[in-house]
Amino acid sequence: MAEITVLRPDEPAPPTASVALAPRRELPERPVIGVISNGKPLAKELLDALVAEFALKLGREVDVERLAKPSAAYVISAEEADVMAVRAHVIISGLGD
Amino acid sequence: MADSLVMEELDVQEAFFDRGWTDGLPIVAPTPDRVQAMLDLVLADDPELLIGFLPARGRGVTLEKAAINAVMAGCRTEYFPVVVAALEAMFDEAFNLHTVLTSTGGAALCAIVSGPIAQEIGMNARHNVLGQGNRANATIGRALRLVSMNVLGSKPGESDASSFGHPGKFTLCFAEDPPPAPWEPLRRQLGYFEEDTTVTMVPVEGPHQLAQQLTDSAADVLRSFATSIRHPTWFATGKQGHGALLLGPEHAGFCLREGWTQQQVREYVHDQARVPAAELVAAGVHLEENAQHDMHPDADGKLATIRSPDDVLLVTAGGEGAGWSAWLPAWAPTIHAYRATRRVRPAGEPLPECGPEGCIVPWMR
Repeated sequence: MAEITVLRPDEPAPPTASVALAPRRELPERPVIGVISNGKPLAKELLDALVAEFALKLGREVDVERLAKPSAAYVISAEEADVMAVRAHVIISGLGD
Repeated sequence: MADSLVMEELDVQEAFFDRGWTDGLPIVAPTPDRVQAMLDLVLADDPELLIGFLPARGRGVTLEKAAINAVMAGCRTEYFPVVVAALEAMFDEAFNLHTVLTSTGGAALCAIVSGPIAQEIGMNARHNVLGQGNRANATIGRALRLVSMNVLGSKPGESDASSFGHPGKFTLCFAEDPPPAPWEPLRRQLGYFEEDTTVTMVPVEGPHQLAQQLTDSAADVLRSFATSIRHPTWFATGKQGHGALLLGPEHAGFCLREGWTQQQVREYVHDQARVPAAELVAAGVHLEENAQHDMHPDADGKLATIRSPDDVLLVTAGGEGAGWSAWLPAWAPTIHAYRATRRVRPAGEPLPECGPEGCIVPWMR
């Protein structure tokens, strides 16, 4: 039996940076719900239903801040994420089909 | 230098299968000398040189990892510059590689090679051009898939979410059969020099073979092809897509004999592939509203299946027979991903050093 040396073809998954959670705060009386639609058909309707259900569970009125991606194939920009993070108290994002 | 393993030669296949490093077929053992021969060909002083980087995955492809996977795919050393150019094209922002490798649509990484290097390395452009039997075609395309799996983490059931996939995901690579004058080869159509060799990458569904054998009318041939292109269940129908139209020698010959220019062919196919919205509805297709694809018809009630004439990539290929051509539809409309082309750097022409985020390679000289 002959031994040979072979090179690994794979690349280890990059390490995931651990990020500290932002401080949890009490929601204001009228919170802003951020909604990020991935642009798929009926994504808006589905997310609206989730917002309505969320408001019902909270038992209070909510405002909605919407962001719709022009294509599901791209992630939102860092700037868009920052703006949404500033404006919204809770964010619901659509993923997949 | 990549990490290495020492094992019994007879155990290599099973060891690679067990680690999930193959596409389901046996591989050639990537020994250091085989890999080094490929790196020497592209004058890679630094095997860690990045060909490209995928921010969404935090992963990049180095020359060495590309060479390892090319060896595994069965590439001969002289194929490696074509593999590198294809990878450079895949990292073009327009190609949107992350989504191409992730989508449930299951796209193949189609590589179309145009130019003298295709002939020098013995690629097939004629009979069975999309099928088996040619080592360069088979292994260059396979190398791209192995890189995607092993280096970029695109594995079925993980970040490759293909619902079905198709056989072209093993390999889909071929050469252009240069068209008779006055038609120009693909690289010239795309603005490159005659002496260049280019690789154009298109993320595609499975090829659709097109038969037209009872007419020599170019308009009839092209109109029937356009009808197939706008088939209701093609994902991009009515959504401004793109793709590659491979004209076989008979069909290209009909066009040439009647004096059609390549631009006229593209314009005619684009126009004839526009689909009446009512035809889609009658076929059971629901038109998207308030979503990513604009499916509001034009004034004449039609929707563009191909965004513009330039989005028909016109390629001559295939062998003589009864009259066959093929349509390779991009797996998704142009808003999601697009084709990309790079010039093949001939053996001995070094790659540029481009820093930690990989090369932004000029796409045209």
